[in-house]
Amino acid sequence: MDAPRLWTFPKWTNLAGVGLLLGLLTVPVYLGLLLAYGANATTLNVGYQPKQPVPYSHAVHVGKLGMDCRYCHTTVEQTGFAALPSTDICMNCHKTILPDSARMALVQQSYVEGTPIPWKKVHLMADYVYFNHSAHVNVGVGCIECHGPVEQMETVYMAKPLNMAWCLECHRDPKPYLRPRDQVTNMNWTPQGADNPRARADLGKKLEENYHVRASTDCVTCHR
Amino acid sequence: MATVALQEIDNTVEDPRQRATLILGEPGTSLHEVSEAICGVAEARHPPKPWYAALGIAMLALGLLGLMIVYLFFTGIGVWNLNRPVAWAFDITNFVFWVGIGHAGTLISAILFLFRQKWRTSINRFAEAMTIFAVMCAGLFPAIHLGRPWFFYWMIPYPNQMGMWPGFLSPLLWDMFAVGTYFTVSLLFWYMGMVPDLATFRDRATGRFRYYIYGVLSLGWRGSQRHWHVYEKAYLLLAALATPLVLSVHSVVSFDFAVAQLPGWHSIVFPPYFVAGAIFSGFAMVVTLAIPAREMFGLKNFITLRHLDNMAKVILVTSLMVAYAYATEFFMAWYSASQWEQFHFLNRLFGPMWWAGWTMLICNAVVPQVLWFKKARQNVWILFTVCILVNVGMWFERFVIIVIGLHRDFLPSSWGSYYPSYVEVVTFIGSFGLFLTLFLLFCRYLPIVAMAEVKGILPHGHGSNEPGQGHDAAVPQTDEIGTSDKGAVGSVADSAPVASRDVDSFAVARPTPPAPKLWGLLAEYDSSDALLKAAEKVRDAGYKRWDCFSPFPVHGLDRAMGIRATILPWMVLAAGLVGAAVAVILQWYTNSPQTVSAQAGALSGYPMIFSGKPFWSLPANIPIVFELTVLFAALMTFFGLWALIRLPRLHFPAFASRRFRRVTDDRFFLLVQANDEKYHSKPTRNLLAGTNCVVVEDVFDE
Amino acid sequence: MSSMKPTDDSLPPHDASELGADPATSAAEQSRRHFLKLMGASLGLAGMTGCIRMPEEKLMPYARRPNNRTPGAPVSYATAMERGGIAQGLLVTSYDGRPIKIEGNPSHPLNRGAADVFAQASILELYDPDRSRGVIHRNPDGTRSQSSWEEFFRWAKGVFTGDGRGIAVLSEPSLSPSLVEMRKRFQKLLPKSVWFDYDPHVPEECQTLWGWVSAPDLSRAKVVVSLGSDLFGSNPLAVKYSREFAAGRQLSRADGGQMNRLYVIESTYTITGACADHRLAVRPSDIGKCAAYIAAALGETNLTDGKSEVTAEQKRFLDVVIADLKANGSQSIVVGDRRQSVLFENLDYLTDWINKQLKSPSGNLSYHSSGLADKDNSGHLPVLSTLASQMASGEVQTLLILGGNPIYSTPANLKFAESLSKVKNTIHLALHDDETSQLCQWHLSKAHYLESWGDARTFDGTVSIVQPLIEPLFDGRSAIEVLARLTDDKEGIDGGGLAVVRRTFKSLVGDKYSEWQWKKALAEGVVEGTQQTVTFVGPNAVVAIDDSKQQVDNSRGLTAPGASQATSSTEETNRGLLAPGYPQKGNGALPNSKAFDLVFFPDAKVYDGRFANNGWLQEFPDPITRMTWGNAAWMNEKTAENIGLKHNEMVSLKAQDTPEVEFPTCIVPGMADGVIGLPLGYGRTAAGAIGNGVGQNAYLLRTSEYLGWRPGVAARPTGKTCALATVQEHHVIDKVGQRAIAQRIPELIHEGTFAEYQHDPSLGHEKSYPVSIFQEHPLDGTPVNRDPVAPNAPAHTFHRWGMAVDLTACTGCGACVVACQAENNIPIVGREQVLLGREMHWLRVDRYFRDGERSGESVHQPVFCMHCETAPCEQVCPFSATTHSTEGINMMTYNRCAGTRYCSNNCPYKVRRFNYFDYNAGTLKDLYMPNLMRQPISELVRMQKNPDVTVRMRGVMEKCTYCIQRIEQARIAAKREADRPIRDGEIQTACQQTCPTGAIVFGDLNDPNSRVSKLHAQQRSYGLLNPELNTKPRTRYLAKVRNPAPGLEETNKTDKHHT
Repeated sequence: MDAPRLWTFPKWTNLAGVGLLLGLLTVPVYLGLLLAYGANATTLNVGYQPKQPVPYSHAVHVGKLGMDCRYCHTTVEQTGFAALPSTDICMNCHKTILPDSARMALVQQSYVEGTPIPWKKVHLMADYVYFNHSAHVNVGVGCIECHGPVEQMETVYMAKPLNMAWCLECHRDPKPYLRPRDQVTNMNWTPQGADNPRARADLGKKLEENYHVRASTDCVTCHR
Repeated sequence: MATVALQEIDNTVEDPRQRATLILGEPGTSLHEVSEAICGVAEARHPPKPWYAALGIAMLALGLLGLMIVYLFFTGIGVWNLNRPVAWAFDITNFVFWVGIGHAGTLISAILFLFRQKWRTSINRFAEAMTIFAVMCAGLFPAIHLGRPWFFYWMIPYPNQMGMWPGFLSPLLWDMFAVGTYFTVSLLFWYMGMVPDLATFRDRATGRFRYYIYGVLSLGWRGSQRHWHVYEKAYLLLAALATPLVLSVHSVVSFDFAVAQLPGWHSIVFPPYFVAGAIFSGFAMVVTLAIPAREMFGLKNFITLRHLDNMAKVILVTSLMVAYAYATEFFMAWYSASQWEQFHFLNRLFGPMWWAGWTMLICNAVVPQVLWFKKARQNVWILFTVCILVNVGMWFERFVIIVIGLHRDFLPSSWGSYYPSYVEVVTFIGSFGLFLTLFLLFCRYLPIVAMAEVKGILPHGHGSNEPGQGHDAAVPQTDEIGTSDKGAVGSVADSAPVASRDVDSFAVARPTPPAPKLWGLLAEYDSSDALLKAAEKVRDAGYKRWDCFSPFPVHGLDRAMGIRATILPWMVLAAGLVGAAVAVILQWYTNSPQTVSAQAGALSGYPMIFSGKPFWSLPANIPIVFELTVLFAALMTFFGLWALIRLPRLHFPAFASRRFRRVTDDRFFLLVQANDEKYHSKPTRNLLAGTNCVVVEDVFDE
Repeated sequence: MSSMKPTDDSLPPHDASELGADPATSAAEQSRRHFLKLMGASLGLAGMTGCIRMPEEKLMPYARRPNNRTPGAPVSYATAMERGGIAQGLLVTSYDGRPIKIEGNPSHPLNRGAADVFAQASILELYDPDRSRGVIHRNPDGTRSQSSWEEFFRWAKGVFTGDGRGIAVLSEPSLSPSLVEMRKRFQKLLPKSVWFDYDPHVPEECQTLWGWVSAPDLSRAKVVVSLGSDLFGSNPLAVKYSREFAAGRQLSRADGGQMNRLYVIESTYTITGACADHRLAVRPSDIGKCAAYIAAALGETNLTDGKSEVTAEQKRFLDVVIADLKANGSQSIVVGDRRQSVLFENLDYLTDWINKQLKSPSGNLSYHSSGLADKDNSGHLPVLSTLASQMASGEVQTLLILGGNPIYSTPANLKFAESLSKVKNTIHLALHDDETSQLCQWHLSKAHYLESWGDARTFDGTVSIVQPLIEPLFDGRSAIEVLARLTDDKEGIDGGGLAVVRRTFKSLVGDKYSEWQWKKALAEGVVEGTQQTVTFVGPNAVVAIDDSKQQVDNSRGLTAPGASQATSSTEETNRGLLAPGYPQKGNGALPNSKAFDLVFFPDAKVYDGRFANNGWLQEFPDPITRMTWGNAAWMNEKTAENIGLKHNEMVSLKAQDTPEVEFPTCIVPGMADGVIGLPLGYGRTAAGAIGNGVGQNAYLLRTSEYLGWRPGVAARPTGKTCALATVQEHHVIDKVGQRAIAQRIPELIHEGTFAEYQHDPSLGHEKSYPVSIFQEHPLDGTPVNRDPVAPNAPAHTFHRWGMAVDLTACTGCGACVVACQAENNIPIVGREQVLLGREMHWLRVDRYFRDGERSGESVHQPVFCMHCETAPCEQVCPFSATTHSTEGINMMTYNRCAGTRYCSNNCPYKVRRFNYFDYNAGTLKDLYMPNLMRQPISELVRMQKNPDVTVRMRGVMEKCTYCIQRIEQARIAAKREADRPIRDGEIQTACQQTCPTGAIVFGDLNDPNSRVSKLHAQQRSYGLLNPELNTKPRTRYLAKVRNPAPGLEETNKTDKHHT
């Protein structure tokens, strides 16, 4: 009678244990990578730069010509929504400046036909976030704090992650992000003695007190 | 095959002169027969017909469960008839029901182990399996009962873009930690206990597929005494960790209710009451499953009437505890003079859902009283009926607490009613499908009785070697092995067999052309006693690289071998402390005022006002601290064990020996490695031959 | 864009195309409604692609921004809504061109800021997807097809010609000056045409058809006696009455307050009855007797009998009333409901007589000049009968129906449908393609009042301009515009409704007209100087201020123009108090145990049926039965037993000349014995997806003789049952539950009499004002900042929001429920879901029957999130989705909620609402369909949504937020305005804003001078369940104080002094 064959594992399988150990070690590594990926700028859409229907350049208008943000975004101090300029605002100047430029074609058409220009939204917040521009601008949070160096942007991109943890950073301690109210739209503002962190801190503290800044971290501040 | 008793044998009588046997069988029941009986279930070519029938039904139910869950996910939780005020009903009832069922396994494994209740060994394995599957069923319900189940992971405290942390004051969070820890520890415990038995499966395997599967699962277990030493410690540690866990899980589950302020929920008696109820229902479920299983797989010799009797007694005791809790609730309602409480308990029995209240009361407090009678405990049918009714009653207990508690609370204006939708009913039935499918598959493919442990409690397992099963029986077996060896390496002695009592010589010498390197000398013994004595000899001879192998841990052998106590307990202690610290720091940091962590972004804490409580309060943190302590310690026990004994290593030179394959069955071995300083071919061989061994065999390395 | 025509700056945006194309700049806001749903999807997508970019969203700025339009800022416009001929002045909030919320106009004499449920819910009517679109024409072969306005007018040119013989117009009663003008024009052009008015409910006190309104001022009355009049219910003047009534029971005044007393004699159960200090349930015929008894006691000798007919119980009650009336004289008032007497004039006569006898200022009767002469056939039923017979005989060849739904709502015996089929040309102008439209040759889509220009008068004659907030969504036109075309009104054709209204306005204002005047009228919502109130000073005084030279008949006190025929025909029965056919004897015992009195009344939800397709109203719980989605036969337990019925069982009702109609039975304690109440307005067949087939049609039992009630109706149980979709208690039938309710009520609702209150302002309840956990030093009252973020911020930026609800003032009308629904984007869930107990109202008005359910005395209690400082819901949430703000608001963060529902379980008030389904998406019928098979949230549904409030998706818990969006808006506005403190009263929650009695007050508890602080400080304030559970609710109730008359006190067996 033939006994059944005797199976064994080859010797190399003993390395499996080591493999398993290494495998277990990858778990924390994986978790770490996952977190890093989650916190990554690309994941957070930083740098999102959709192509706009009109090749409008903030770099020219703000950077070179020094236009104030509020010339176009008129409602930023009054309402939650910083309105995009209506076409007639563009045409205030462009009736005379470069009226026939090809770049202006869509604007011209909009002006003549009364059709809106379909701008693509760059700073897209989740729908359940109620961000109010006026509440920020009026207490001295500069445009640049959230929108980045718009005056250098040929096409606007998202400069900051705009995620909740990022919002909370400022809401927990707004002092470093405050500036005098009249400097809110100034893209080149630097606090006096900018190189002195102490002075900056003092200024922040002073502004926080003067403007009665109470950046609440209550959920209802942003979510309703 | 195992001897299947045709008639139930009463082994429940305690004779003060002699311990009643825990395993039944003919006088000659041997270690090998244990293996035969248990492995036979998995090795049989065809499982019994009822198994197919049962699996078919179970899988049908499982399919329905899947269907219902898909429907639920794509439609909304509204397909269940939950409402306001009854926002929980079947879902949490089923959850608590299944968690309760899941208590018996670890209780039997851990608490009875600590109490040295040896009768547990026949039932602990499948009770543990039942636990695992029941907890899986239980875990299903909290996950699918969410309004948005895809966000279940928000319960886990991990740094995230929202800077948010879960609410550590919520009993549901404690629950997740408790059930999660319980599941993990139970799984580890179950698996750890199963490894020696899986090795038996492996070593008995005749097909390649079975061998490799069980070989991988058993991690190269070979019954080494040095392994057994750590293993036993680990098992004890895990049992010690699991014991408070068993008590804590249902305590924490009860907090889901006790922490709330609904009348009928807000009760201090809940933790012990729930634990008792869980054990009650768990044992009832074990019996419910054991009775058909022992019938189906011929395990009456293992799960004897004595086992059933013992379990019936536990059921009776816990029934009394539960009944006492009921009485306490009613008394407290009256005594507290709280009109809400009083109304709740009146409403339980005389309100619109009186039928549920009375079902609970009768099934849980009245019916089990028949177990006072021995006749009832020993009549399988009565016992089975009682257990089914207890299961029904315990399900209704949760239903009563949850639904009757919710449907009429404080403001009469918000009173409501509840009846289940078909989706809820089918989901509930489907959970049985999941449970039974897993259980039936387990029965078919995994060792359903802890063979190694059973062997350990067999009379000869204690090394007394009393019964007739002795050296004579071994003789023909050695013959067989000696003659039928082919293809295996190094199984042949390169020298004459040692002269020894009763030991047959190897019949054929087969020198192999590339002379393999001798790796060690293997001596086989047919009793633990013989091994023990041999081990003392070898120890005294001053060998270092040698080991003993046995199907179960032979008590006293580690001392006989001079093995030093393992450091595992210290590692576990350290891990437990780390777990506690992590839990405390986590809960403190995430709720700390921002001054601690203002600029840490996603890693920052987020203090929030919950119910006007302090930002950080230690008492509320205790459940999670406890659970993480146990979890870390248990993980350390498990992984520490394998690290210390350096498993998995699937290859072991002695595995090439056909004789050695019985180390996981009924044989005992001593192996001296050739690379031991003291090793010298002749003297060592003589030393071994001088012990009471069956044979001495050379082991070669590849 | 075609809509970019030059717009009048002052005008509200009313170009629908602006919305249709793409609401300028509001893309962001619109998208808020995709919402949370995306969250779920994005998780799945993120898993799949790993590197998903943002979904692309577009912003569409205006090409030319209109002046005075700030994108993203809500704007309010004043307008008015007419119901029963009476205008309610409204303020409509518009957000980027979409009207989203209706509130009462604070400058309007009727509303004073409040609005009733119907007015508020009419915003949903505007966006009703079932509204008809354009013109539908019935082809000769009976099929119907879409037509156009031009086609209709072409056809009409050939029909509305000649002298108008054979042309009849049936119109909803209206005092709109422009409509009246158009009507005159029409009749001048077609002199032989006839014009009829019909409204299924002659509004109780508002006989607009006759050009006058009886609108007594309750605010100065110390004693109010209602003879069957539902002052606070579905009455168009309810807002005014409620306000005035509450003004007479101001306990919060420093001088200890004062208290009026309300007696109600009625046969059904109304919220007026629920508010009464004393209520007497009598059969409808007895109301006239009671009035006669009172009149006789005050000296009227002209009555034939009546005095002897009241029962001993009634006599006991009435004697107290009479004594009270005599004692208070001119400070008392009697209000009657003409529906309740068989022929209404007798009750009118008696109440007028009594009021004059009392020298009561009941004479706040307003005369309006409709400007129409007697021959105009204005009138009510008699003329409707005339019309029906004229139609049947073929005299009428062309019938133009302007609004209304006569096929559905006219009395059954007129067989209006049959008559209509005899008419050659039939035209129906209506919002919906309804029962009447489907039988007419032409259906014309009517423009909603929020889409069209118009004007309207209110009770005192004040005219309001109805200005549109949006261009017609469904190609509808107003009655004015249609008449302008039919009458070839050049100005009206060219300039639309606006031109007609301006023309009318000019003539109304006369010399004073100026553009500024016009703008002022638009802005304020009232036209100055149009008020025409007349006050009687004595029983026989004749005052006729109105310039239309109306005649007032001294002997009867009042006779309205056009009513002469109607009244003369009933002259005989004026003094006889019993209607023919009514069993004369055996008041208590029914002549035949199966013959009952039916009382018809407009439903509290859908009124006369016109709001049947309005989901908010269908789901608005009836204040008395707490029933939604349908109607039932109301009766008390005794009556039900008499018929052999139980709650929920079907009863079949049969009267002479009417079919047998089945209704579910609803046991309503407090109904008079032998009386079955039937709410009208249900059983619609062509209302739309929401309203079709809901409830039973009670009009089928209503005949022209018996508009208000009818005797001798047979009732029998059918043996079937029907579940009533009630939102409270689901009718507790077990004794354990009933006992518990009776035991709990005194603890849940603190009550007492005025006398007791004066003796002990806490009304015997232990005062348990909890120490706030937000105030570390409660003794000196200085707010202590517990904010971990800004511990040094100034005190005025710290608030402890709180609310007080005065149960004494609350009438239970439920206006707050709809206000909350509109403000907070609360979905409707449908009948099936209500039956399961899943209604979503954040605010509910609980109704408890005081001593069990026997006496029928009930109390109402609005319940919403209490914002407990130690909120039990918060600690149990594993996701931190519900937490507490530093200002004490219990916050619910939807986007963090995964839906364990534990918070709801642990809320003792059960105010949390769970989205079991995606109630906003698809229709109510496909809730049980998997999401993928369901329609997404429709564009129309979206348009109504408040962009400041998240629309919740399925699986998310929600609840009252104290209107956090209003708080945040006020906070930001205050900050913007030089960082000033938020003023007390600046933030009004939606419920508070609309409450006609001012029972709800919201404010800052940190300010000791705020109204809410003062109310909390009153001794009668209490926190619901607070002593038991220590929840420290921020919303506290002020005990209900009643003012029983000394002689009747013992009948009020309340045990408020519980231990």
